[in-house]
Amino acid sequence: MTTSAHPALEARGITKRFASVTANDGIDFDVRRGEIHGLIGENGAGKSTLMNIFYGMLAPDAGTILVNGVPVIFHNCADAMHAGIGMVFQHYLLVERFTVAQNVLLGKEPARGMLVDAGAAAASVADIARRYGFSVDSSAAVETLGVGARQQVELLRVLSREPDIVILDEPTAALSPSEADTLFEVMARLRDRGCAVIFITHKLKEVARVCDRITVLRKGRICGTVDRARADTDALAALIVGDLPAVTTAQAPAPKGKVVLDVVGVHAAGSHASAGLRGLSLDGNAGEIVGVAGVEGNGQLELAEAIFGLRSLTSGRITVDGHDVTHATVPERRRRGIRYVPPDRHGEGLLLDFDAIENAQIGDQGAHRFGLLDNALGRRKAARIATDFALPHYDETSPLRSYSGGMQQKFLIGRETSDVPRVLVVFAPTRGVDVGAAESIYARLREMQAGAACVILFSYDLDEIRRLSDRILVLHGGEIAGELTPDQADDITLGRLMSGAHV
Amino acid sequence: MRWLVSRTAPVVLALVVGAVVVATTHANPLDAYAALVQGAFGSLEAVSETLAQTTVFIFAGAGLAIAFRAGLFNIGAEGQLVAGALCAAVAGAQLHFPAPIEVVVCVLAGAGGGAIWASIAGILRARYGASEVITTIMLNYIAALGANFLVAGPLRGSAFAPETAAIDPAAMLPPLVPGTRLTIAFPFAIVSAIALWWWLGRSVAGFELRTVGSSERVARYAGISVPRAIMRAMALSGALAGLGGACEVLALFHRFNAQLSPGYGFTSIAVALLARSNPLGVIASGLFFGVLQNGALSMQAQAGISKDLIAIIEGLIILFVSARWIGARLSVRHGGQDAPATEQLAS
Repeated sequence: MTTSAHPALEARGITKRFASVTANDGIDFDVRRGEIHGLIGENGAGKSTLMNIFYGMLAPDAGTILVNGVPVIFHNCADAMHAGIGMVFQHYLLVERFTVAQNVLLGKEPARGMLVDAGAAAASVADIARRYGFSVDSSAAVETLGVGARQQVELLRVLSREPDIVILDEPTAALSPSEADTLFEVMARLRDRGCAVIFITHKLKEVARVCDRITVLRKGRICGTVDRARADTDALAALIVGDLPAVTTAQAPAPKGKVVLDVVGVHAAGSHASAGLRGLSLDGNAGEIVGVAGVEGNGQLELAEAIFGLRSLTSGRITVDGHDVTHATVPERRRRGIRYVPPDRHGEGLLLDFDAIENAQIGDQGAHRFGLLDNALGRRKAARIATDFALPHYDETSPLRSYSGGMQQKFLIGRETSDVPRVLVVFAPTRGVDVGAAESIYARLREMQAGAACVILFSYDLDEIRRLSDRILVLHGGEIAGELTPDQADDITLGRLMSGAHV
Repeated sequence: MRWLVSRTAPVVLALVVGAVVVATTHANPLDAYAALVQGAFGSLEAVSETLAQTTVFIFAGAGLAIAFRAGLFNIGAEGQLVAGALCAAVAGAQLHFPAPIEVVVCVLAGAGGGAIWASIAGILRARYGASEVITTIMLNYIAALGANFLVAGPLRGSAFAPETAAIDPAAMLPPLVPGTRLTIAFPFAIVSAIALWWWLGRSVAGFELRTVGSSERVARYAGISVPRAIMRAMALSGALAGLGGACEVLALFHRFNAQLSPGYGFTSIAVALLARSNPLGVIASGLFFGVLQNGALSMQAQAGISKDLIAIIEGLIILFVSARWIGARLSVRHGGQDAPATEQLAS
């Protein structure tokens, strides 16, 4: 480790424009050796643009990048890697069939003659893993791994190049709390070894917890950099959105309506390494938000899909308003008023190559006369979503791919709540969206609750669950491990239930 | 402008590389292409013949476009075309209705033959997950060899050659331009392509088909029956190829023989790819291949260039269309989203 006075990586006056949009406007930013520097801001604030410039994927229109005080120009990622910069992207790029070691050493396999030295490869990956305290098995095939382990593989790949500067782009978006904790330990170890770490996230609590300094980006400009000591989440939230929307934490407990959703003793097979459902029962009442917490892979996805009709039950029964829907198809359940916001908006909820008019009709496409799409209705519905959620630059004919992630999520939620449903199943509704968007999504969920919908909220964000839910169910191993009121649901109690211990 | 450049770039590049190939044989590429254009457009007869040749490409190309949009790599247009042609020829020879009814019945027989042939692959894919690429290729061989057997034996209707009996004159499609082989099959093909384009964009079934092609997970989420959409797309795709084959019989050959299609079904893959799987675009790309097909003979006669040059250009076009797609995939760095190949080709 050098003791140079220069920051490890520095941006001076970086400006980047796309057509009429200024994504980065005279950005000054630096990260020091042995520091975790948090970067937060709304979707579209320019975080990704700045990181892509750091990583050589975009060239700035103006400004300079300095590594250890020396100005550099990156023509591509290879230049940036050569300068000691490593980046872990939000979307993983892994070869499913390959083992962890093969993925980590892809393109730089240790050779013995013309053959890959598999033993040396496994050993060197295991060595890196041990140094940083990873738990992942280097001989496991990636297709068998969960989200957290996959991310470790991505991180291992970056660390195998021994970078001085590590950029993590929203690494915790898909992680459970315990997986996130593991990641934070790795980040701390990197810092202690003298690495400079840039940590991008939406979650204010995380930056306040793990970062040494925090920089807030808004509309392409730096709003300020604060030390951890002076950073509390409310102040940060205010910096991010400009002014903090009214927080609606303390609501009167909703009067308990009649039972809308009744799930009785359901069993279902699980995907990947998940437990599936093992005789789970729950009921949901009108005008109630039921939070479902749990470590990923304990049956949440299976339960959500079983309610919506995407997963068949091996036994058990599901009724909505007294009607048995156990064997009903998705369209039949939609007619009963079940709506679903799936966790994977790109892969399941939206067609990114289709325009807003057609996306507004997904799920209701068959409901019209003469077997034709009702584009007039789709147009009205899409326009209403755009107005309700104040989508910027809304253009009904451009493909949804051109929207930011937060806009896509608002569109999806808006579509599933365009009429007040009887049962609204929402899965990780604010994952990867900024504070402002999350607030408008929360407001919409409350509206649905006020309209007497039964909202089942699945989330890995415990604060979100606590803040919105009237009751909290904790899943473990495909069963309900416990039921709590929001007041009882402190981290320790939740954590014990989530890990399968009895309270 | 950019749109025009990106759509025509594969054609231009293929013609340029084709010219280089011609030049290596010490012939003048410009002479070759001039002879080709002359052969395709040089007279009323030439234009009529070009449009007659275009017909089968529009039918089969539009059918393949439908399959590609549903995410199905139907390689079996050749077999479906043969099945349709054989059914139309048998219906035309065996049935004897008054003229308009006879024509309609024979056309429907052709569409049905192609649809059934394609549905074998469609059902195998929808029910058992068998790759349609493999099954349609195998069904091509079965169709070709099966048809050879049938016209040599049970269905032989001619003493001189292995072919079916001539169709009833009532089944022959009336010519548009007297004295040429251009019949009402050509406008019928254009209307079919336009109708398909409209259906794909506006109907619920078309939307479901495109959704399945874009993402089967979204389709299931939207409550669409994926197997049904796949079977429907394959049947429709085969019906269109079958129509192409039927029109060859009813308009041009008036009987079925094994030489009926010199690989039109395979050329139609290039037609659909060049049109980016848009049925409207298929009209233009079908015409382009019709020009090549018809101009090739006079190119060979007048400029002394083998008509195999056409096969080279066709191969190059597929290569360049695919290269654009590969290039697009490579440039999406860290996009994370994996779309099926056929959908990429369709976009």
